[in-house]
Amino acid sequence: MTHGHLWDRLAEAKTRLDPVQSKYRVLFEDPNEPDEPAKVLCPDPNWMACALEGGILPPIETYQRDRLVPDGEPKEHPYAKPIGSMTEEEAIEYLIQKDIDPSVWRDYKGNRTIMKIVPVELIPSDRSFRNAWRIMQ
Amino acid sequence: MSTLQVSNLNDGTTTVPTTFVNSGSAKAWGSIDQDSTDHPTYDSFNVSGTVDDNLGNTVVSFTNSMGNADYAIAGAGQADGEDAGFFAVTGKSGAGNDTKMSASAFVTDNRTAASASRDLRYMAFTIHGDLA
Repeated sequence: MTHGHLWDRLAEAKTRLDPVQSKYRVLFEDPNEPDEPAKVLCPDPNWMACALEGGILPPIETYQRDRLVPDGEPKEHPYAKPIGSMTEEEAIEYLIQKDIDPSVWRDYKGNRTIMKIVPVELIPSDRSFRNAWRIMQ
Repeated sequence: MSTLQVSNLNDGTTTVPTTFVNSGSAKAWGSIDQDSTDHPTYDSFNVSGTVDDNLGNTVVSFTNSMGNADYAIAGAGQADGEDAGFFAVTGKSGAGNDTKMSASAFVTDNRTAASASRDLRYMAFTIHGDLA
C-alpha cells in the first residue's frame, strides 16, 4: 500500500484523532524587521495530534527543499513518505523549521535573543500595547 | 482503510468526474480567536500553526501547501462586543509588506470601520484552489 497524498492523510486523521493543545509557544522577532513587535507561534492542535501520532507528516527536509521551489512547480512534501511519531518537544522544533523563516532560527548571528520556546503560561494574556512587545534580554 | 477508485460519480441522471469534486473542495479552513494572545485556532483543517503577528495580523500556515499563491481566501469575523468585524488579508498589492501571500501561508489584516488594526474574537476562513 502506498502512503498516498499528505492532504488525504490529513483528512483521514481529522476523522479519528482528538486535537492536542500544546503547552508550548514560540516567541520570536524578525531580524529583517527590527521595528516590528515580537511574534508568537502557536501549534495548531490538529497538526500537533498528527505529529504525536506519526505516519502522517512528511520529513521536515522536504519542506526546506520546497522553500527553494518556485510557486507553480511540483513540490516534494505532499508526496514524501511520512515520518514516525514525534515527542511534543520534537514537534515544536519541527514546526519552528517549517513555519518560521530560517533568518530567525538558522542564520541570525547577532547578540539579541530573538527566539524562545516558552510555556504558554509565560505569554502575557493582556494585549495592551501589543504592538510594542519585545523579547526580554 | 479501503480505497474506492472511481473516475466518475453518477446519481442516475448526471455524471461528474471525481476530479470535479476534489477541485471544488475546500483545501483548508479554520476559525481563530485573535483576542487570545498567540491567536489559537478554535478548529481547523490543513493548518500547521498560527503566528500572532500583531493586532489583527495572524499568519496562517498550511500543512499541505497550495500549488501557487493564486488561491481564493474567503473569511469573516466578529470583534468582541461588536456585531461584526472586517476580515482582510495582505494579498497582492505589490507594495512590499502588503504582499505576504504565498503558497504556504497567508496573513490576515483585520480592521475596524475606521481602518485601525483590530483583533477579532471570532475569525473564520476557507481556502479554495489547487494543492501542491
